[in-house]
Amino acid sequence: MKRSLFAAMCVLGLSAKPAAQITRVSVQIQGCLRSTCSRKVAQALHKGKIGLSSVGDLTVDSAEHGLASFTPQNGSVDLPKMRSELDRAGYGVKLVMIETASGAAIDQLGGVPVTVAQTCQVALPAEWKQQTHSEKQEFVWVPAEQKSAHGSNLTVCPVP
Amino acid sequence: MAQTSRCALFLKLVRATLVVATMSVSTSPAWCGSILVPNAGVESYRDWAVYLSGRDSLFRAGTTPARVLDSTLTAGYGVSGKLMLYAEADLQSLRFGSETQRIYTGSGSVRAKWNFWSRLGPGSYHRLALITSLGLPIGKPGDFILVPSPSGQTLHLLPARLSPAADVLYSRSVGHWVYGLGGGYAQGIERVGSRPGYKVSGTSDLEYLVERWGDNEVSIIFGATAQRLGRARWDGSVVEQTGGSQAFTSYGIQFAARSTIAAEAAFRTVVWENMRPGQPGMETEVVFGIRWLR
Repeated sequence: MKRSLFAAMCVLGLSAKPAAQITRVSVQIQGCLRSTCSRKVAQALHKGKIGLSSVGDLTVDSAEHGLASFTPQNGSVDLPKMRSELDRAGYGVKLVMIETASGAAIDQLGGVPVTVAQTCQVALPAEWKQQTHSEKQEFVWVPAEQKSAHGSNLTVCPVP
Repeated sequence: MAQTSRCALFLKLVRATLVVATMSVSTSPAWCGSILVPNAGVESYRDWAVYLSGRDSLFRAGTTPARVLDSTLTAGYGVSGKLMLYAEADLQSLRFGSETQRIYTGSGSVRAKWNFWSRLGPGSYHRLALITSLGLPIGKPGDFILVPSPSGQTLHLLPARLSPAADVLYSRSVGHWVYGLGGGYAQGIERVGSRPGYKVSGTSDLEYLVERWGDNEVSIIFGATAQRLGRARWDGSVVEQTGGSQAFTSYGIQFAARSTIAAEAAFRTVVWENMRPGQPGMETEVVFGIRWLR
């Protein structure tokens, strides 16, 4: 009995994909243009413990289009919490793109279950289209389509 | 004769003190949006900001010119991304007419800015904010008025008092542009039968981001302000020769050396005025400000 249980666990363990480590989070922020607001965004992420070990870890990719990115320090990020922190800081989140290693399963983010939609109807900023990599997999989250900030699955879609 | 001269000098100095105190409360430059221009955005989130500004102002009280050097230190804390609280201390040094003696005054105030509505987009926003402030009855704040008397005009000091004020600001940002409109009302609380008149003001500003490289940004700023001052009260009655209207324009440049430090310089000048003889009015002003975000 013990031997068969052990064997079953080994089979399950070998067949399961490794949990996704997020290597990069890109955010399109609404209402942020100047260096002052970039700092506020970094403060909100840092003080809210959303993956930034210091305020300087946020990179502004395009101030004109409100694009910024960072590498989460522990490989994970709570997207609804990030959205609510940025909302409290006076900004909105239009789009989030997360990047993981190719082949990794993405079934939860920051403890929140994730559903991956089959198709993606989102128009990505041109800067994001240029930075996609074939050896990585990218998913997009649209906060406006999330009915509730807490207690439900996150629906993301793969970047085509 | 010497006593009369000393008395006249004393009156001039007192008058100048009040002019400076009045200007320091009514045109405090550390509005904390950009540095010198009102803005509906809140610039720090659960952290501190410090502003230091200096002004060199030329103005006229009756027929006598005066020069004022003024410095303002403001500390602000962003309670949330939409609410910021400020405390402000103001020190002035002034020279009145042809006198070389300087006089020093100081005053304080507290202020809150609440960005109560926003409509946001990528690279753009509409924001509305309410700014309320309270001038404190400490130091040597106050206004002066000139009251007609048999010997011409007599200078009267208005006592230190609470001075509440409220402004509503709209800001719009799109691309390299930020522009805004605002309106405000201020009214000192009467104390021992005296207070300055109400102040109603309207402002507009236009800011253009000329260049950005890294965290560095250079912007130019144009602003216009119109204000209407009501008649003051002295010893329980209205002083008819006080109050009036003025319009200013301002031209400035801001340089952000990094996201935490920025400096701004501006020049303001009166373009139109209709002030009554008992009410002081500013003519030109050079302003410099530094903002530090922790």
